[in-house]
Amino acid sequence: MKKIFREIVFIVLVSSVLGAAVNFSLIRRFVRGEFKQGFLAPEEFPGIRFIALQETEDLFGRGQAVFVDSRSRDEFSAGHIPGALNIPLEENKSGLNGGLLPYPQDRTFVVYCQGGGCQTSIALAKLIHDLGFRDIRIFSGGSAEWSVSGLPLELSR
Amino acid sequence: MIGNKWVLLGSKLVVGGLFIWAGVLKIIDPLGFGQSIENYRFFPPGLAFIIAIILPWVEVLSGVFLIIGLFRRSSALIISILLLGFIGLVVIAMLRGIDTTCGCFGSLSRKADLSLILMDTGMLFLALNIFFAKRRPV
Repeated sequence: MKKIFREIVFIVLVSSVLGAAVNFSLIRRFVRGEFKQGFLAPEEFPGIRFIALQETEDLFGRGQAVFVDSRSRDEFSAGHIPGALNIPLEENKSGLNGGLLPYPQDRTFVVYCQGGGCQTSIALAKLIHDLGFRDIRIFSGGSAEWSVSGLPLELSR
Repeated sequence: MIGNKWVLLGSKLVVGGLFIWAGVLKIIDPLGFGQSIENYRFFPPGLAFIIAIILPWVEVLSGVFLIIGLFRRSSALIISILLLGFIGLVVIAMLRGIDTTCGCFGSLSRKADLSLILMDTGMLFLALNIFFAKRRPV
């Protein structure tokens, strides 16, 4: 059993060295603070970035961005950022119909989901990016942080 | 356990081959694999990143060693432990109502559901069979 343990440690160590060597540039970017909120590669999705509550609130106040809620219809109905569109990721996984977002390509979008590590906003942001839009911001705090901060929520029937 | 040498040979080729294939697809797209790990909402992002960097190589090396017969039992044990972990993750995701792809074969991944658990369980049986086998496969 000792031999097996030594061999397992050897395989894991060699894998770690190979993984670190091959992904050296990714590790440097990770150390610099990238990928803390998700694994979007900026070179692959240059038009997507993560934003915090303050910037989200600012964009909301100026009315310059289209807010998109990626949660299910039920979750959206129970309370969403006022004026947000609901594009449930679960209904659009295979791709978005361009007609859902009849906006010029330079329009700013803020995509959000529940917050607390939810991932549907990231997946939806990628789909919006695929339509050619290049200013997409993911509010990672989501509706949870928005409502906890005392900001208004809109209910829909 | 099945000790027939041809069954053992077939098992190591199937399990080793699948692990090499799965590992290579993840090595090609580490960020995509990292995102798949995060989708399970089980690991913090930092740990998900480390797993995304190292795990694919563990899969490939274990698969290669299993097929060439070097560190045969250790590789079979690593693969068994990984499969147990994958099964556990999918079960937890299903219990928590998380609808995601498994992330097991890069962009070719399938949905994390009961059929995936059955497939992993079948592979786990083959891997454990190799680990406990008294004779070496041909």
